[in-house]
Amino acid sequence: MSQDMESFKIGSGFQFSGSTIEDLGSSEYTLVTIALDESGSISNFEDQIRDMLIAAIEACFSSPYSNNLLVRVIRFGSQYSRQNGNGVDEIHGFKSLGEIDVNDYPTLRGGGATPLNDSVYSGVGAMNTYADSLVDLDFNVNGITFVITDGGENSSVATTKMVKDELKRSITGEVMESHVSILIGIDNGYGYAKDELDNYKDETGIDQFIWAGEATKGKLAKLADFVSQSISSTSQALGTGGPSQKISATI
Amino acid sequence: MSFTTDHTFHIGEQHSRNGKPNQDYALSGTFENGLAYIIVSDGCSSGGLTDIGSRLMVLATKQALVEISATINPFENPNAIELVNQRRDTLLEQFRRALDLEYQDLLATCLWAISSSEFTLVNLTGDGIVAIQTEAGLTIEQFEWDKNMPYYPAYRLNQTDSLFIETHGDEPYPFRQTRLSEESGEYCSPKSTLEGMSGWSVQIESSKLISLALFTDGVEQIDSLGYKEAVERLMAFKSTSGQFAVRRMNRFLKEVNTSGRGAIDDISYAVINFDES
Repeated sequence: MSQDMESFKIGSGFQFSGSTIEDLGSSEYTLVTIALDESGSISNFEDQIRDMLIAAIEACFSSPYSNNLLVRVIRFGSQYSRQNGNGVDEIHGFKSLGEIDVNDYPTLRGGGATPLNDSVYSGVGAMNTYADSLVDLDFNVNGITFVITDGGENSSVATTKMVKDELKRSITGEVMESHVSILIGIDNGYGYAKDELDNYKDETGIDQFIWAGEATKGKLAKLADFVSQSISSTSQALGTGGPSQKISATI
Repeated sequence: MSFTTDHTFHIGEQHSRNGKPNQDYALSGTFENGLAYIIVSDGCSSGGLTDIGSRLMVLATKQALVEISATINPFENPNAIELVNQRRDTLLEQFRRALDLEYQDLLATCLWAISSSEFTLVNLTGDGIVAIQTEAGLTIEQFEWDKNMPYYPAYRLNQTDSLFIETHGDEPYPFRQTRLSEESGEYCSPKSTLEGMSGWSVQIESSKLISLALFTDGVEQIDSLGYKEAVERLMAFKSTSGQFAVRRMNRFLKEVNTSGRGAIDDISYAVINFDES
């Protein structure tokens, strides 16, 4: 971990990192988390998912609010369950765009089962915890979380109730001004995950479910566009007291 | 000793509603010679282009402080305040001519402070508030003129001091200094027009200070909130890094805007925090 990052604990053994709050130069921030599925079933399109991530982050640089974004990227798969982060590996904690080098993003290596609960719990839980610390110091904060997966929950430490509670806490307005959670399903060729993920969205209280269809290069490019536009819309909404305008997802 | 400084300014409800610009301005930072500075200015609502006037007032003061502190020790030279304000006024006159402005465009108050690790020097011309936080508590020095007609440095530039004196002619003590101190209680000192025109200044040992803030009088015009509480809340910094004053002001305005008119007048403040370590 670099010197300007500090580590935080969420609960149930989950941890994350974020830029040292005392070093932050702006007065308000949009927190962004992108969680990427790294289970075995993505093994045919690992490179496309990485390219999508890079395209989404690069597009954020042209946002007028780019200086007010703090981005965290995680990947999830049961191969990480034995490590500290349960089924989650943090590629980087909340940091400003200027400190992100997209060339450092690792190549994904699909393997293991899908700890979807762990990914959402880590994503939203870390955001709530970090936002809490920022709000304590008078920062104005909102957030957006993307979870990109090709399959439903099958191997988490975190329970559905834990996920539900964190999501509920994120939208009460007590921590962040607003928070939007988006579950994005991609088709790994079998297509069975669509209904399962749609149900998962309802069960946990995730705001939006988008079925992106087959993980082709073109569709993932559109997905990157959707992610960056949603981030931009969320950062524009900061200070208004309300949620961002929904970006229509035609992927 | 190290310093952190920050400043912020916001348009008030009245100017926002009437499509007028924010006539307050504030600035802070550290000069190359290591002195920290804070400056605020409030443009006169019934003047001309005083949104520009208050900005020019602040920028001219900053430049005057840079120049004068490079040639004399401002904490030892008894003429330092006069030299700074004279240089500021000379610069203002140059700006006025270059930009073809009227004197009424320059009608703006001026509050400034500079700090070294030994001393802090504060000067006020016009009205506003100086808040001094020490180990002994918070002291709030409020300065106001009758009829809300403060003295502006631009009157001297335009050689209209005599008109100003005439305006306040029938009032023996139109300028008032009110001190609210957690340490020494409340004190009010009425002053004559001439005393008020020469402003107020103080030199304090920096080692005694935790923070020092200069406010325009907008802090006295928060709907349903007294200025003492407003100042206390704006001085309650949770941290003193980054844009700490901006964050505190934003949170404060968010809270006071939830009921009533919030900040009725433009509001600004600039702060120096002193860290002994």
